[in-house]
Amino acid sequence: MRLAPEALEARLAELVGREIGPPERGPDPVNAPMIRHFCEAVGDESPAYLDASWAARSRHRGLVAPPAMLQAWVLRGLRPAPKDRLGELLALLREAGYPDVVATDCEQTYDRLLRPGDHLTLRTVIGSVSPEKATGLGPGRFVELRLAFHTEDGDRVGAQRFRLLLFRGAGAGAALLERPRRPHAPASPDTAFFAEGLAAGEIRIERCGACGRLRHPPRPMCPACQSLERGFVVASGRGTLHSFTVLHHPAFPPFHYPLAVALVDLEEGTRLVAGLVEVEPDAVTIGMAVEGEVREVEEGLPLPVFVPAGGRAARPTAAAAPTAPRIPPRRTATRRVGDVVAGDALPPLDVPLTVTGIVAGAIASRDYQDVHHDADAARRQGLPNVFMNILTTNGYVGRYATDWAGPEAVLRAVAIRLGAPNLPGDTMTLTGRVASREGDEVTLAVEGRNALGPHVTGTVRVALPPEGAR
Amino acid sequence: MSGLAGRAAIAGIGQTEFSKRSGRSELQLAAECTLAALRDAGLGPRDVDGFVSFSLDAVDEIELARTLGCGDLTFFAVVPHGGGAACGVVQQAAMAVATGVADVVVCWRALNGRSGQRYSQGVAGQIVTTDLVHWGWYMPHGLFTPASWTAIVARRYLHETGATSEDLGRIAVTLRRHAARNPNAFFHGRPLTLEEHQASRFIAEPLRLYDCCQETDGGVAVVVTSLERARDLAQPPAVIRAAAVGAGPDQEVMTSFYRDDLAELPEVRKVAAQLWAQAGIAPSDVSCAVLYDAFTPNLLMQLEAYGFCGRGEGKDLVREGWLELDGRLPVNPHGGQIGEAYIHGMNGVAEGVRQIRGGSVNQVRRVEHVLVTAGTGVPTSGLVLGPA
Repeated sequence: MRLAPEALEARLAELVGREIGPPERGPDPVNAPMIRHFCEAVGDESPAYLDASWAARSRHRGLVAPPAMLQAWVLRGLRPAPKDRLGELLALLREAGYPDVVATDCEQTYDRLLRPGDHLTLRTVIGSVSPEKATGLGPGRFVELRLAFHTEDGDRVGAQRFRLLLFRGAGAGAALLERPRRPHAPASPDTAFFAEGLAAGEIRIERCGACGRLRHPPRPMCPACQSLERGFVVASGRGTLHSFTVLHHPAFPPFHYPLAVALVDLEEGTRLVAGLVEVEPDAVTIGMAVEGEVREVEEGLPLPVFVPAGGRAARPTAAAAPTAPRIPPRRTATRRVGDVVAGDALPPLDVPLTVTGIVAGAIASRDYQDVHHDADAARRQGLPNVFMNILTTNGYVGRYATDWAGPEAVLRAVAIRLGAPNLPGDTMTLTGRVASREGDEVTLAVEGRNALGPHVTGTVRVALPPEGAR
Repeated sequence: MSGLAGRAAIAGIGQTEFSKRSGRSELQLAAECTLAALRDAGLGPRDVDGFVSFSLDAVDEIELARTLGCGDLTFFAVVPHGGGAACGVVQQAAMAVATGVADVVVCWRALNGRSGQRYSQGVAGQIVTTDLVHWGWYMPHGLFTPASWTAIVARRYLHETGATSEDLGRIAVTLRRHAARNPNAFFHGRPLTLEEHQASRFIAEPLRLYDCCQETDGGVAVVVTSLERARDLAQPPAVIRAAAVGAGPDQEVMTSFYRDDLAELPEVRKVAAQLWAQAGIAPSDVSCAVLYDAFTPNLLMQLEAYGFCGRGEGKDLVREGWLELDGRLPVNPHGGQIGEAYIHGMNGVAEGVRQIRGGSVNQVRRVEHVLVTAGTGVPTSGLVLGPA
């Protein structure tokens, strides 16, 4: 039934602030088999979730569930959705011209860790419905849901803010897949030798064919002897930093910020502007020795890139075969809060994305939305294949935090925002750093990127044992 | 003294309001500020026979002439290189008047710099330049914005001179103090503290938010005519005692990164030498300076390149209070582009004229020579104005 605009807004206003229906009890209590399925799907091997005897001896005093499973304990799975106010709300918006839906934000806070036997009941309140906004997917309206999870004895154990975007996405999938690209240097007869050098893995410097002087940027004539004869030499890549900047704002989509850009004195005597990577921005100083090489910074774009001297030998060259995914070792001894300093970086975690992994994550989190397991359904939304559901992403972010912090760390909150979809064949790389530390709690800033751009950005609050705790 | 000195004068100034959203076309802004400048001079559109603007201005002079209802034109010119044109347009007008090519020439700059195309958002595929190849050396690495290009030079300058972020902050604090008293300024009534400057976020290190000028919608125009004619018009003339443009060796637009000395501005020294020679004065004769301030380091480097102090001593002038209204070299009494508005330097030309006439809200006492400068890091220009 399509309502007139005023009637629609009036009904939406009535729905906001209401519970969607009676409290809903999860079909099963927290249980070890579902925990194991979920851990397998997100590659989480923490003994806190899987090793009963370790867990019994730990600060947890028994097995606990991955906090990211919070919502999985109450989802209905394949049972038909009840006729409730959320169903009405979604139907109203669908009829009003927003047929597509995507989850954009999920903020979970955990009052305590869940243990096998806890049986959860969910109450959901419609928090807000935004006016129509222009989004990257098309015009749409955001619906915020507030979920509260209680055990049978009435204790609240967790809460969740969940934001859905209902939108009119003619070609929305295609918009999601539009890969932000760096601007490429325009071609010119004067610079062709440089571009050809990059394609061959060389940083070339123009050299006058008559007087032998080097010059950069290239010019068609030698400014010293006016000769039109020209050749080039290949730079060694060794140089020192003449100047640099670290860019923060505004952020352009294909770049990672803070972004260090260097002006390098090459040992041959000319200067070159290029990116400076594999160095903490705070550690960059004028005069530091750097080494440059050509890297394919994105598909079809080889560019000079500099690293601190000595750093180049340690990494494979651009031409090398694809490297194995980076999986930092999972900590077995939990970090103490005193060991952590704001600014500490978490080692990157590469997550190769497969259909199997995406489907396993969706089912293990009891999310049966068709686009997460049925490629045809995903294609109808304009995407080339199934894509990862938000609860699996949540699980990866949680795992990334506890793999770094150790098995006795306690997640207090995970707040994430989704961007580009995680699609099979791609790799998501999680990176993070310690944003702040207060009392026993550390806040991590985490980002997961794939080839399309940022898939997830968010923060994790995690409690660590105090100094000297066993 | 050269052939140009004292031959022409600025007889009228006009401007629109400065805002973040003008709500009208750049053509309308240009027409409004031009009409205001003509009326200020006691002239009308039919008196105009020449126009000059920036190559970055979106409005063609013939469109502007039709809009205003001007008659025949005998002179039009466009000065390139962004804000480096701010005084170059006046030089073109003065030369046209001095040679008899034109009688009344309008120089204008109008832009929706905040609600329209924002320079802070980068040039990728935006600014139409004759030298896209030039930008190709920078954009693929993430250098898109004026702040990013300036930051590379500023970092080296700070490294070589020992000037600090706090020194840059002192400049911003001074300019915001001036702007706080200027009702036309965006930051009218809103001074800045050094602590607020130091706490502001980085845009492109070492540049913080408050090291950067504003982005503004608005227009400013000035009317140039011969000194003889200006004497008969409505306002006291601001005599153009010197006007010059300059480019240095190995010059690029914003990215002159390949010079031996990155902490120098040879193009500014080129302009300075011409100005002092034309006007027959020395830097110490300047009563008030309107220095182009897209970013605070620009101002320090200009103090040195215009010869107000030695190399690396710009910070000392700032610390010693030279730039204050009662200092030895009052700078940007209107608040500059950091405090008043960013009209690509043309609002600075207008302030220079007000200081000569004696009607600025922050009037400097006993003004004899006003230096006005243009964009830094680009081929640039400058003026010396004085009373008749």
